[in-house]
Amino acid sequence: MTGQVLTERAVTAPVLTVRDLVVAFPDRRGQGRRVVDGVSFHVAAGECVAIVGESGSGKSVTARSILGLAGEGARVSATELTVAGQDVLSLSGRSLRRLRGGTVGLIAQDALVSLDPLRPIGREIGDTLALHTGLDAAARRARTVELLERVGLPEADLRAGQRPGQLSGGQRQRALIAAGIAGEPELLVADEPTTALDQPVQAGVLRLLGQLRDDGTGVLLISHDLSVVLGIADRVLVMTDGVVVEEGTPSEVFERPRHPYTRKLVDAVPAGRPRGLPLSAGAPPSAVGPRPAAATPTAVVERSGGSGTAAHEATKPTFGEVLLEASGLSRTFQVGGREIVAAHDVSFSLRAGRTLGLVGESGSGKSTTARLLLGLERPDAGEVTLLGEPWSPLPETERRPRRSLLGAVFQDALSSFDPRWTVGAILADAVTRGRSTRHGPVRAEVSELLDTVGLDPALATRRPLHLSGGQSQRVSVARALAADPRVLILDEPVSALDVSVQAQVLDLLDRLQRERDLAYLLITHDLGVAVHMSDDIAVMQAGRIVESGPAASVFESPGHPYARLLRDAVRL
Amino acid sequence: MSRVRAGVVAFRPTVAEAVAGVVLLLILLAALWPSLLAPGDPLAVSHTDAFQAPSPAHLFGTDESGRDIYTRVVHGASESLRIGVLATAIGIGLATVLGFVAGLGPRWLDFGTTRFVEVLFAFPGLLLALLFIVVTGPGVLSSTIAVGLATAPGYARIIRSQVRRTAAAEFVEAARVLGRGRLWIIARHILPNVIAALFVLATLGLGQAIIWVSSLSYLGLGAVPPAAEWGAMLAAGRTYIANFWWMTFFPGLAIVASAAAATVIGRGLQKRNRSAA
Repeated sequence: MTGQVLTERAVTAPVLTVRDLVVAFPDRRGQGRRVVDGVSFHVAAGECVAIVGESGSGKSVTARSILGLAGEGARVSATELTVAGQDVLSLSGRSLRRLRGGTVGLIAQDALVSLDPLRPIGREIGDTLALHTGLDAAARRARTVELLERVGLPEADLRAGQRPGQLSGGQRQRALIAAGIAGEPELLVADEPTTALDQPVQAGVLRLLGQLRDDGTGVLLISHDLSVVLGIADRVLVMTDGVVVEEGTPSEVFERPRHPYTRKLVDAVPAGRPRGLPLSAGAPPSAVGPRPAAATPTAVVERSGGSGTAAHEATKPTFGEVLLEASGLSRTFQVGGREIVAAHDVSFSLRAGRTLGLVGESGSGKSTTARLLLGLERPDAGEVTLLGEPWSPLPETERRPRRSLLGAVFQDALSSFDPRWTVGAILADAVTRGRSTRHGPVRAEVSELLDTVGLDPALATRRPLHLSGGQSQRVSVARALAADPRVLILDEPVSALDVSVQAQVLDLLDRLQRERDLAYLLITHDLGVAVHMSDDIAVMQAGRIVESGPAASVFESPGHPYARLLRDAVRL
Repeated sequence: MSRVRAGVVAFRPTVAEAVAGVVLLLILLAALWPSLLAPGDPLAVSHTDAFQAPSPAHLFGTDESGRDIYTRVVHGASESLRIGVLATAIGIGLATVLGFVAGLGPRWLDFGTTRFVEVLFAFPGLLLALLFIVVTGPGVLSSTIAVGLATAPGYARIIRSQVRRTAAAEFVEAARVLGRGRLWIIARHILPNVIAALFVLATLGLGQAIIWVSSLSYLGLGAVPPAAEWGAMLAAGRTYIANFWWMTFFPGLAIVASAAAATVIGRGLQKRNRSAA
């Protein structure tokens, strides 16, 4: 973006002007709780402004207020809130409806829930056209196909007749964008348009938004992810607690953050940060400092030779020792007469103190692999060995005594807890391996566990439902650690978390690995997380490992086209 | 934080729930300790006092034999409630067995049980109860069992789906990863989670059972006059309904009030249970 272009843009009248926007929701005492408190910004034609913030920062409410959709009971006030010269706050219901979809297009986060599952996407787009243009039926059909082609859906005329369920996540999001731009809006409000998408698909959707901007549409992009907005936004606003704390070009915000909150956000982005460097401020100093060498063979020898007594040796794994080995794992599912290959000839080994990052888009078989390792699923072929002994071929009753060697952390921590149990009961159960007693020395162990994962022992009396996302994921880590495992399977452990919370959990996992020489299998769709956390990375696609190697080099000379695609996605 | 507050708010009863709670407490008191509310004898006959309209002396009036209807309604609570509770217990007990067998058993067992339950479900409940009484003969016990049997299929379906949903929950999987056995998981995870829902069902079912048992008594298949049972009182009063409305009105009111109260409380529990889970 040259300076000349920028000045040219500044001259054009803004399509959106927001000055001193305040949105309050009445709380129980009748006083308004301000979720947006004095936000001001403007979006010019052909400009992309991004609002970045974590959940609860007020970014989505800001975006929705522009469309008069702040929510039930919301009190919206502003010195100025104009879209293309129209004062939104004074508009009647009917003019508001004309505004939505006409002057302003909205692209919501999850296309699967935003689109009616029973209606072909072409109809969805046609409706917008019927409402906001004077086109007749035939012209609408032609325009629909044109729009779908514009957003990059192949075979657009065929797609127009398909229902959302028949399309992939990326295709649905594109269809939603097509519906959003059908009324040729001057302003496009995109609320987390890529959050539900895999990284390569995400890149494509962002590129499309960039094109729309270049064609003269004003774009307001809402995202929780700083790295997403980097490549596309002209200006970035950072919001927290309803206030804009920082504003500037992406490079200004990212490279020279002024506000401490922005700095925290920027630091929390794992992409491109070397292992062992804590992501969150205030991480304990023990986590800082170099890792015990990136497992060169000599390092292995040194460590095993140098560690203490023989008794100690027996309990502590040797650094780099293979703890779990998967060889030739295959699993096929029959779904509605079709065969789906969830895993095919998957082989790798997990070593003490090392992390293997398993990346790939959704449906590539990552989670099936995890389930095969955990013995929740039986492989059709291949075998898993744990500490050199057979694991997967054994019947469950024989596996059970050795289950404590293998821990798991799931993506959705909350639903992995019985909603009726308190945190204390969950951990006491894990500590006593099911022979839980309510009192006694167990309680001390529970407190110790909570302390290990950086939680207040007083949380033991809470129920999981009353924990924050980060807290429940920490409890989940604590539970996995309770039985003193040697291997942890981490299935998307941070993907449901805000960036700064994600940073803390990643730091925690890193610290625990150092302290206990745990072997990690880290399953993630987020390449930034994978690169930051892993020693080795394996890329999965359609049930196969298509690329693998040390984290540093796997993307440097990717042999497989898919790995290249992933690499390009990270660079965006 | 907001979740905690939402939890507290959820347990504040609505006006309807408060009223229903008071009604249920009164009925419970009447059932457990009737002489406290109505010290008289529900069966005491006094022909000079027959067919008296409600007055301070006889709050709900008297019947054809001069028995005080208020006293009879209060004393009838224990009979109606006992039959209702027993019938619900039978229904839910049977349904729990069927539901768990179907929900956790092998596929063929699930198939068999589910089909059996579906066949039963195809009959209207009351018809099923009548069928049972035809076989066993009328009486309090057989009408209780009949209502229990008739309500079981409906419960069994709900329990089965609840069991299956819980068994497929992620926390059950997490327990398997921690090395817990099948029986352990059933006892510690599935049963408690299903029982919470059962409790709600039982409260809702109680209201329904009271109505059904009263219906059977009304038809002369359960308790028979002069027993102070609400359905039987209703039946006794029906011949006089044109002239002496209070003979049917007050027992009817007791049935409606108890059934409604149980339903309101049950719905309230259901709502909360859902938002908690």
